[in-house]
Amino acid sequence: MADINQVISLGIGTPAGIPEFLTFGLQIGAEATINVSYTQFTLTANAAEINTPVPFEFPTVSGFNVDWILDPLDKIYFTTLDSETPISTWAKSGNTVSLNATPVQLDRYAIRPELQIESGDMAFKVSNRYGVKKYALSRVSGSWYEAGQIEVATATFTLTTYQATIA
Amino acid sequence: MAAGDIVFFDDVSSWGDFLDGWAGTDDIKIAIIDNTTTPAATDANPVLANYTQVTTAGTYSVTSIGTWAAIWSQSVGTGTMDSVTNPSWAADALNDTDAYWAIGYNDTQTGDPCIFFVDLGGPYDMTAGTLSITWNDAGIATQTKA
Repeated sequence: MADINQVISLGIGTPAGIPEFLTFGLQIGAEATINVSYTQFTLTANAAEINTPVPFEFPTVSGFNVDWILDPLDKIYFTTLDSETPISTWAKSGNTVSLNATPVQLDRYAIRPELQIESGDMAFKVSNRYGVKKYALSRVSGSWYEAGQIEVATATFTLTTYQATIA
Repeated sequence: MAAGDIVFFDDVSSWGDFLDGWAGTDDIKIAIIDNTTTPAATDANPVLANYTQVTTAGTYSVTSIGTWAAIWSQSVGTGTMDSVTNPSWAADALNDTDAYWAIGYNDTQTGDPCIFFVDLGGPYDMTAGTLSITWNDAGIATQTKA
């Protein structure tokens, strides 16, 4: 089996090479767990990089804080090469406003899926058919070629109104 | 409710359009309504036409409080709605005498979806004195990550 680092480099470097992507996916399927070195990708830090796919598998982060940050105007998308689908919806009840995200089920041969968030950081977990679950903190993720599911936590906000003066 | 209390509708285009879908150039306006229909936070699909505005025979007309981009902003974890425009209507003998609520709505989006309403402590007699709404120094509302 090719070294996983080589495979990842091949996948990112040849975005038109779909057969390579599929090969990559099958190789992932042969592995129980793949840990990609943290230094192989960059957690995007600005809006200009938000559409840059990065490997989907993140290493387990010790002490990871799932109490992630979302800003009130955030929205979450799940995209592939062919489509872009919002997976988040807002709801309000009383003074509680919630951002709910629908879990995304990936096909085995899903090509370059990405989870995007317009701004802010977010956390999500991913599981595949082997039951592997990982938590990640990122603005964007992608390059996942195995069946699995992405689950995004729900964010809750409190709405506060301020009394106006009537005269 | 007390005069000056502000209540947001639950169904502001299901909040998704409100937070994600409105353009920054959308014009947000204030309308004054009577008590023909009492607004409630739970009103489904609240649009301006569901409520009865006071007469425009005198000084009243809907008033812009700014574009969506101007009144809604966010920093990390907190969104704020505020306006530098405090709407005001001078007294006039031709005005109505039964103003009850002010309604904030999006005048650009189809159907004029309503965002919130303000209790005027009605009936407010718009023939007897100026009706003015002065927003709180803290703004109209904030949305903070719980």
